[in-house]
Amino acid sequence: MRESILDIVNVSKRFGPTLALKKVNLSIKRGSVHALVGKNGAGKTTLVSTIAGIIKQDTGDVLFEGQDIGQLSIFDRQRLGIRIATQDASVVPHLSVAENVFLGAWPKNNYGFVNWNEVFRVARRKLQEYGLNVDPRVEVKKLSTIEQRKVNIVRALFGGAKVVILDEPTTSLSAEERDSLFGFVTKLSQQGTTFILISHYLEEVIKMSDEISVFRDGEIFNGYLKGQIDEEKLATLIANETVEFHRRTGKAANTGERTSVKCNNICGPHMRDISFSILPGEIVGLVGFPGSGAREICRTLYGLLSFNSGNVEVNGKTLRKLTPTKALREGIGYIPYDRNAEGLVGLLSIKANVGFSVLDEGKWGFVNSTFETQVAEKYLKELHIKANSIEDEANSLSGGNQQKVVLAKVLGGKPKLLILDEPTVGIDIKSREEILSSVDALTQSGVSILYLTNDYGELLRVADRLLFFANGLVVREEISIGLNIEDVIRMRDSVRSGIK
Amino acid sequence: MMLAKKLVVITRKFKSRDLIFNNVVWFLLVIVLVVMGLFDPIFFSKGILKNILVQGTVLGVLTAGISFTILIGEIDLSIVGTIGFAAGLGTLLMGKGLNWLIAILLIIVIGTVVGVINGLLISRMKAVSLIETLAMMLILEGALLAVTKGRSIVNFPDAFSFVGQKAIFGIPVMIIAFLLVYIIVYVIWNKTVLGRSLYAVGGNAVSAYTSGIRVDRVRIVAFTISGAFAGFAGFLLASYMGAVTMTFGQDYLMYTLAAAVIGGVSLTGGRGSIVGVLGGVLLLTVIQVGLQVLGISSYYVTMVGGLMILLAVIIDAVRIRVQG
Ligand SMILES: Nc1ncnc2c1ncn2[C@@H]1O[C@H](COP(=O)(O)OP(=O)(O)OP(=O)(O)O)[C@@H](O)[C@H]1O
Ligand SMILES: [Mg+2]
Repeated sequence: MRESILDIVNVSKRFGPTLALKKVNLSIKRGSVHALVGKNGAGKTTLVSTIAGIIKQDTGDVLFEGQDIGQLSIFDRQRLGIRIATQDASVVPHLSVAENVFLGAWPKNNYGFVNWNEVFRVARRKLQEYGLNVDPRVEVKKLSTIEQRKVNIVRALFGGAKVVILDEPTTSLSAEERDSLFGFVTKLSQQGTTFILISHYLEEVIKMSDEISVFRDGEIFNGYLKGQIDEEKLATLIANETVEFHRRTGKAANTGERTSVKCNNICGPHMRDISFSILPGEIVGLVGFPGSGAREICRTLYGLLSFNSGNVEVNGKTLRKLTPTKALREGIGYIPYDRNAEGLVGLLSIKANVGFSVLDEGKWGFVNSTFETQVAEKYLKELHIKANSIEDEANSLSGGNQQKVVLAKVLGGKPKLLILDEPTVGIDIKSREEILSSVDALTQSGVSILYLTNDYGELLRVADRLLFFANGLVVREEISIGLNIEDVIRMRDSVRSGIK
Repeated sequence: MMLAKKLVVITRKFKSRDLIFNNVVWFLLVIVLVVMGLFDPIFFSKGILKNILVQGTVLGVLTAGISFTILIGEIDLSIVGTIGFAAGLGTLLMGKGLNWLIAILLIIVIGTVVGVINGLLISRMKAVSLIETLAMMLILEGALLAVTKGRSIVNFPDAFSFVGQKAIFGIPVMIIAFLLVYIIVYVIWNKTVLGRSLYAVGGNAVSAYTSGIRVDRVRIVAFTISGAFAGFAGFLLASYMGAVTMTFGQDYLMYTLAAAVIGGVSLTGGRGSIVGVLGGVLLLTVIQVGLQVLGISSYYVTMVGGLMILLAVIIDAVRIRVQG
C-alpha cells in the first residue's frame, strides 16, 4: 500500500442553502491517478477548489504530506506543489503563452532579472512535447478557447508539481489530443506525480485511473480500484439508477423533398466554397480539423462570422447577411462551444438567461415576466438543472448545469435549425443521454440539426449523415449507419491528405 | 402570524452578509443621519428631509443618467460638460427672446444630441468611453466659456424658474421631478427589454450579442439617456439657482461617480440597482448638507468628497471579493 500524499478529513462546504460537500473523507495515494466522478453539481469542483485553495471549506481539514494546509493561500499551495487546471480556461489573456506557462516561476538570471530567451526556449519545448503547436510569444487571448484550455493544462503539468488537479481536461478535445494528454499524465505519474482527474467520460476514467471516487449530492463513495469496476457499473453508481443509452429513432418520416436549410457557395474566412443542404428533421454531423471550415460554417449560419459571397436559404427565403438577431428571427439557434465566453451572462439569473430567447414576447418593450418564468421553470424541470430556483445567479451553478442553462436558452427560442457546437461539454452521463434523446425528439417535429463535436462516438450515435470538411470545402459525404469511430478518423485524415 | 413566518423564510433565504452588502448604503445613511443629529438636532426635524431632497435633485438626475453607462461597463464623464453647455446655450437664447418652454426643450435636446454622438463614437468607432467622454467634457466646458464669455447668465422668466423654486401642494416641484425620474428608471431597469439588455451587455457583451441582443444599439441608447438626463439636470440646476455661471455644474463629477458606486453599481458593469443609486445620492447629499449646517469650512468639502469616493471604491472592491 502506498502512502497518502493528500488527506481530506471531514470537509463540509455550504453555499447558501446548498450543502455542496457533506463531511467528505478522501485520501489520495502518492503517485496515483485518482478520478472523481459524479453527476453535475455533485460537488467535484467544490472539493478540488478546497484542495487548491480557491475556496475555503466551512469545516474539516485538508492535509498535504501530513501538514494542515487549510490556512494557506492558493499561491502558497502552488509553492508546495499543488497545481490545478480549472474547469473553465483561466489563463491570463494579456500575457504571452510562455508567460502563462511559467506564471510565477520565471527562470531568473544571475541578476534576478527574468531571462526571457530561456522562458521562450523552454516554453516552446514544453508545448511541443505536449503536441501544442503555438508560438510561445503570442498573447494568449489570440488563441482559440480550446488552445487556451491546453495552455492551462500545460501550465499545471509544468513546474515540478507534486499533485496536479485536472478538472474536466478533455472536454472538446479530439481523440488524438486526449491520447497525447493521457500519454503525458501516464508518463508523469510513472515519475511520481499524483493526479486528481475529474471527467464525465467513464471510458477514459476507467482506463486512466488507479482509484475512483464517486460523488453523489455532496457525499463521497470511495475505494473503487482499477480493474474492479466496469463502465456500466460505474454509470449506475454515479446516477444511482441504471442509465438507459439513447438510440436515434431514425430520421423523421420525410415530409416531401422540401429543403429546410441550404448553403449556396459560401466563401469567407476558412470557407472557400461551401454548399450543402439539410432536410427537415435531419441531423447532419460535421467533421473536420480546426480551420477546415466546419466550425466556421456553423458560426456563419448564425451570423457570428460574415461571408463574402454566396447565400443561405432558409425555407425558401434567401439571406445574404446575417447577425445573431436576424438568425434567431429566421429560426436558427446556436449553442456555442464556449459557454463562459459566448453562452451565459453569469451575473444574471437562470431565468434571465433562459429569457433571452423570449424577450420579444413582451409588449411595448416590456419583458413578459410571466411567460419568461414559465419557460425557465419548464426547462429547469425538463433538463434537471440543479439549482435552488430560477432566480439563482448562473455563476453559482456547477459547470454542467451552466451548460444546461445555455441549452435551455436556445431551445426556448423554438428554433427550426439548431446548430450544436459541442453541446454536451461538461454534461454528466445521465443528462447526456437525456439531451441526446431530446435532440432526437426535436427532429421528430421537423427541426433540422447541425452537430459539431470532436466526440465521434457521440456524433455517430445521433447523426444521420456526416459531412467532412477540409480546406474550406465539403469534401466527402457519408451516411453514418454502419460506420465506427475509426472509420470516421480514417475518412477525416484521408480527405485532408488528399487535398494536399 | 402568516406574514411573520413568511418574513422569517425570506430573510433566511438571503445570507445576512449579502443583506448588509446589498444595502450597505442605507445603513451608512442611517448612521450618518444619527451622527449629524447628535451634533445638531435639526437633522431630526421634518423640514430637513425636504431640504435634502431638493438639494439632491440635480445630483440624483445626473447620477441616474451616468448609471446607465456604468451599468454597461462604460462611463460618461461628459455629463458635467453637457449640464453647463446645454443650460448655458438654452438660457442665453432665452435671454435673446426664445420662448421659455422651447428653451427648456432645447436644453434637453442638446444633452440628448451629445449623448447620441458619444454613443455613436463609442459603439461604432470603438472609441474608449473614458477618453472619448473626457474629451467631450473638455470641449463642452470650453464651449460654455466661449458662449458666456465668462459672464453669468441671469434674469430668467418666472415660468422657467417655476420647477426649481416653486412647490405644488407644499411639495417642491424639484422633488417631484426627482422622484419621477427614479420611478421611470426603476421601471426601465427592472421591467423592460432595454433594462435586461443593459445588465446583459455589462455582464458579458459577447454572450449578450450571441443571445440576440443588439449590443451596439444598447450602448448608443445608454449614452443617449445619460446625455438627455444631463440636459434635464442642467435645466433643473439653472431653474433652481436662477443663473448659469461659467463653471456651472462642473463640481458634480466626483459626487455623481461616488454616488453611483456607493449605491452598488459596479464599475466593471453588469451589477447594480437603482434603489441603491438613490441611497448613494441621498447619502452624499446628507453629508454635503451636513457639512454646511454644521458650519464646517468649505476648504474641507473637496477632501471629504475624495474620501467618499475612496470609501465607495473600497466597498465596491470588497463586495466583488465577498460576493464573487
Ligand atoms: N459559488 C457558488 N455559489 C453558490 N452555489 C455554488 C457555488 N459553487 C458551487 N455551488 C453549488 O454547489 C454544488 C456543487 O457544485 P460543483 O461545481 O462542485 O459541482 P460539480 O460536481 O463540479 O458539477 P459539474 O460536473 O457540473 O462541474 C452545486 O449545486 C452548485 O450549484
Ligand atoms: Mg465541476
